[in-house]
Amino acid sequence: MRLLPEDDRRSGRAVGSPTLAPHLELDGVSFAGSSLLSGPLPDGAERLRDLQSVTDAALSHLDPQALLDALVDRVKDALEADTAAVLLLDREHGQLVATAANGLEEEVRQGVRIPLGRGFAGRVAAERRPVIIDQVDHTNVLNPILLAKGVRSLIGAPLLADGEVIGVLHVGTLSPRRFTSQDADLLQLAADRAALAVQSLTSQLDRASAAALQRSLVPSALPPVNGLQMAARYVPGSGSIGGDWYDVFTLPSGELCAVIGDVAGSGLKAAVIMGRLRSALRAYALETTDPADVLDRLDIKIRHFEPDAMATVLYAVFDHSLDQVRISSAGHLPPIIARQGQPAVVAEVANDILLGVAALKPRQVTTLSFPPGALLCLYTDGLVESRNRPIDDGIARLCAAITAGEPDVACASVMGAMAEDALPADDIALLMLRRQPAGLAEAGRLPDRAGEL
Amino acid sequence: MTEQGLDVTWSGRHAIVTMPAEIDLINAGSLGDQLSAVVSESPDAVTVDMTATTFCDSAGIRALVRAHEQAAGSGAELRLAVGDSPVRRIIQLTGLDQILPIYHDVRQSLTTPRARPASNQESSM
Repeated sequence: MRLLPEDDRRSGRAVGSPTLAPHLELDGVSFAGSSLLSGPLPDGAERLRDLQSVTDAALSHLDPQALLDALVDRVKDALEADTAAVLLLDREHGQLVATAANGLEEEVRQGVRIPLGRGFAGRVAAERRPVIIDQVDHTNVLNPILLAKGVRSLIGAPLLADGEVIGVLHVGTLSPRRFTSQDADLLQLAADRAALAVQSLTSQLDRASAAALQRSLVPSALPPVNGLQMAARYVPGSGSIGGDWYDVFTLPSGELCAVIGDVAGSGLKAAVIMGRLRSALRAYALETTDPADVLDRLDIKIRHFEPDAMATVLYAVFDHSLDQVRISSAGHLPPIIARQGQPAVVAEVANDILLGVAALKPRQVTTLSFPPGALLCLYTDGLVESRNRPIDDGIARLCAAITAGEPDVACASVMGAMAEDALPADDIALLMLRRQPAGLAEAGRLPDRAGEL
Repeated sequence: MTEQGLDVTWSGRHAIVTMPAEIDLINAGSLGDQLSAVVSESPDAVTVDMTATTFCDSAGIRALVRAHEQAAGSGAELRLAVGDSPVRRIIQLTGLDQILPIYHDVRQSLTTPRARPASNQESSM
């Protein structure tokens, strides 16, 4: 295996610099004047224009696979080689996965995976610069397909995005060939185009998928419950979708349950974990009516199946009469309660450690009185957290914005008062539940017998 | 990606790591890696100085918890010095004060001996 000599490496770097590549003028004139690509490749400029048109066209079509398929075809032709392949990094497993290939289609069909740092592609990723192998053999190439195919010489370049390796592009020949530094420049330029396109596409797809997932999981309509009105809001952050969620459902016993939670992190991964937690919590809710027990089970589930995840969750179970609500909180922000004729206050709810962390003491349940006309407000940190002031100030402002009235009005009032000041990057979930005032309570409901808290 | 090098000082086998003013999704990963590197140096205790930290989001909380777990696994104790920082409230709200010893400042942490011997640090999984 040979790395490019220092001088070549530097020129390869210059061409491959992520800051340079996107701005390179690829028209014939500026290329004729470029010292990097003049000389041995007479029609280098044309070939590069070709590559560029591929990546630009694919970008507009939002299809990473089509982009990579077209790219390996053009790169193979541009370098007059016999094989070309793109492997993308699966960060979670630390492996490069064959994603597109020409002349090596088996790589993709067989789902070839190369551990980072091993084999040829793994070496390119680890070196983060073009690597050339003049003489392929089993000591420098791991992939049996390359060996079986009879690939004799290889050149590879890393796909870099924001300085991070996201994949590898390599080209091979079936007859021995000494790839030059000009070949390396060309390949690195193609790899840079590919990296930009792949990154842009995956982040767009990631955002779109997360948004779709989030929309499918946050209930659009809350279940009708006699004697209770509900309203909710979910506002995604400007940066990306997060892992906030709320849920309201009834148990077979008729008890009403409300959930609000926040998975640490953002993007598709947080949204996927959120979806799993939401389903798991519903399942555990069917097994036990003790809110602390439900959160304990959810915690065991997270720590076993999602060991990287952490979440704050507040789970509330209203009894049949609605007179009382039992709440267990795993590191979540305290609910706000507004009883009729009184200002909204932070409910005194025992708080335990968030989910995903080994707890040192048993989870607790707090029972709150919930008299007719009372309003319970559950929310996530995006609503009250700010870089400019303590979180308690945000919570105080939230209290001030809540009036014990129609939940929908209360939601609108809160969003109006708080959203402007909230962190634009963080998502916000807000859930309001209000018990009908006594005068409006339907027949058969027990008279108010709420005790003191 | 901003690369913030954390200020790390040692007092014997006790490491003091000074956190930046804001910890969020942008820098939490890097801070977590640097905390992890400090914990890997087999300290008896690590005090994370957050007295000058004004903002810490859930990504920051996660980095602290993971560092705590790593420390506990290797017999070290992760401590927080939070002073009157707004972070103190976040630590309480997320329940982190139930698993991490919280001190007012670094000096108080340095002068407080460990409650439990190093061999008895397995968290109750």
